[in-house]
Amino acid sequence: MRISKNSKIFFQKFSRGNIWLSQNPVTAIGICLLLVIILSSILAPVLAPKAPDAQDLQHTLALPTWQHLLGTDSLGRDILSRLMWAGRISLAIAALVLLLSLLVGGTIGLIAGFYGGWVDELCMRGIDLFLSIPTFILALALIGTLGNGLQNLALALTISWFSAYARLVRSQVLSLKNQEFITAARALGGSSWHILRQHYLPSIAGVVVVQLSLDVGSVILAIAGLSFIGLGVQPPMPEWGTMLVDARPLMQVAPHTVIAPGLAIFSTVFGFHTLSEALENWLEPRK
Amino acid sequence: MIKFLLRRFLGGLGVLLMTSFLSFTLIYLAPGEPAEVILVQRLGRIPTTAETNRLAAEYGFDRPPLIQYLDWTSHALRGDFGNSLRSGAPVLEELRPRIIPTLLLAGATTLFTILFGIPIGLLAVLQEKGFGDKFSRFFSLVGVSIPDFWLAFVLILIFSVYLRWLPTHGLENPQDLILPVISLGVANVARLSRLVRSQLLDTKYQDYLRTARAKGLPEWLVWFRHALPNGLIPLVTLAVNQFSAIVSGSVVIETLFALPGIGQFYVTAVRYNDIPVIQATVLLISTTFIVINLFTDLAYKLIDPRLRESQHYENL
Repeated sequence: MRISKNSKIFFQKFSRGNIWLSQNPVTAIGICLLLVIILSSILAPVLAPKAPDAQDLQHTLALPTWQHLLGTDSLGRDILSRLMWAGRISLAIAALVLLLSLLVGGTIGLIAGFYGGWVDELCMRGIDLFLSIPTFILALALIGTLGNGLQNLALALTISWFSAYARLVRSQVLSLKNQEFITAARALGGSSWHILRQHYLPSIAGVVVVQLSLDVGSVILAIAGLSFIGLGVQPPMPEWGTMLVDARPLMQVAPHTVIAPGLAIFSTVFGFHTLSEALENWLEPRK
Repeated sequence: MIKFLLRRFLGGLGVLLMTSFLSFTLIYLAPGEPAEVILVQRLGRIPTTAETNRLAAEYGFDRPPLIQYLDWTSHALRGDFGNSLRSGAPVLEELRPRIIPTLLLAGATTLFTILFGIPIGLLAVLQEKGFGDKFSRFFSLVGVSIPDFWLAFVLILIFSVYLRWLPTHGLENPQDLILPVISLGVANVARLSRLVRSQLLDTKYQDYLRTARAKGLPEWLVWFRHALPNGLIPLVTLAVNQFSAIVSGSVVIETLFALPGIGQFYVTAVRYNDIPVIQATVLLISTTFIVINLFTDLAYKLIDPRLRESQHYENL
């Protein structure tokens, strides 16, 4: 009985449509873009036509040609290759930051929501501290004191981001706490650990995944913004934000050097937004 | 109501106390002893132990942390955040002239956001499942995805470089704010229009609107007198997010357009590891944040009578 019901729900979810295609064309485009970006970033060492820092001083600021598909920058470096390597760095930092945020914030949220009482109060007042200041400002303050560098960048972003997950997970736990299936599981003598793993986590997972896919975009924007003001990824390491700053003085002569990195950031964030929308609709279709 | 006020006020005060503690701790997060950090900044080289000890005694870094914190807070309360490590001038004096440009930018952006965000969201609801809805949803998706600094570049390229209509940087005339405000505002418009849409879609099928139509009110009056005021009340709480987004964005945008505001000042401080300035700015921003939070809660309560009631019963 239980199995047949579950498989029915499962079947319904799938017959509602495949996440990739059945939605509107904008979603399909966004997700396809995202796939291309993620794959080309991961496979940059294999796919990139040139090394990211290989200079070709004979062809500086070249317009797109067959040799350089997106043209070259002021040092004759291949823009496409740099974009791909930059994507690797941004995506890796974003993944690290979000995993850590989820791990730390999620655990705090789970504990606070699950135990309630003074534990909850203590955890949440602590979290309030991090929520009482805009994330970007906090990240900057931390970078300003800890100093530059990839490690500090990841650390600063994690400290700024984890509080949101603590809050999200806690509110999810609280909303589940008095639901009948949880009470039933308790009445049947399920241990806390069992209930947490079998009932809470699966129910929370959906919301968290949607939020994660949305936040990848925000973290990537933050990394690019920080690098743009010279406080994130440092040159000569390729990064979308730093590529934009480098291109700024040449905007007039070689607009393509400004357009390309911007489009890369835009497509990535756009892709993650559509992904998160698609996931949300898929997991919890409205009406 | 008074109980509610008092509780929120005390809560805000508590958070403020914690943020002041956080700002104070920043100097301890820096690698090395605080006195060393300051001396490296000032001398440009690694200081000798004697120099470090002398400065530590002068600044009181040799006292227990709690005493230092109390001392720092009591000075901060009187507006004394110490001197900037970079320029040597009192932090507050440097900070003060920066407030107006940032307020101008933030105010104009907020206005821009409301002016465009609400109509675009409204358009989606009026033409539900039609062109307006599609446009509005697409716009909000694109708007939140565009990096503001890149949008600024594109705008500069079009309006400053090619058309030569607007300046690329500085803040001398009112029109100098146009490009910064648009760059900063588009993402906010996108977010607001999306929320307006979802909020009004919920409102659209409420009974009181049917009643209003049934008693023969023209459609525009139904919207302006009934749907909008009721449907948009919850958006008051957005003020906090709005503030957060604008402050964060203004850091980058002010740097990009060379606007002499707090954001630009803050970035310079972060670049030079100018910790007293960072401390003061963080405290200033979080205080504003907390105050806005408080006022929003209050405004929400005051505007929405249902909440006033429920809170009333809750407190009994």
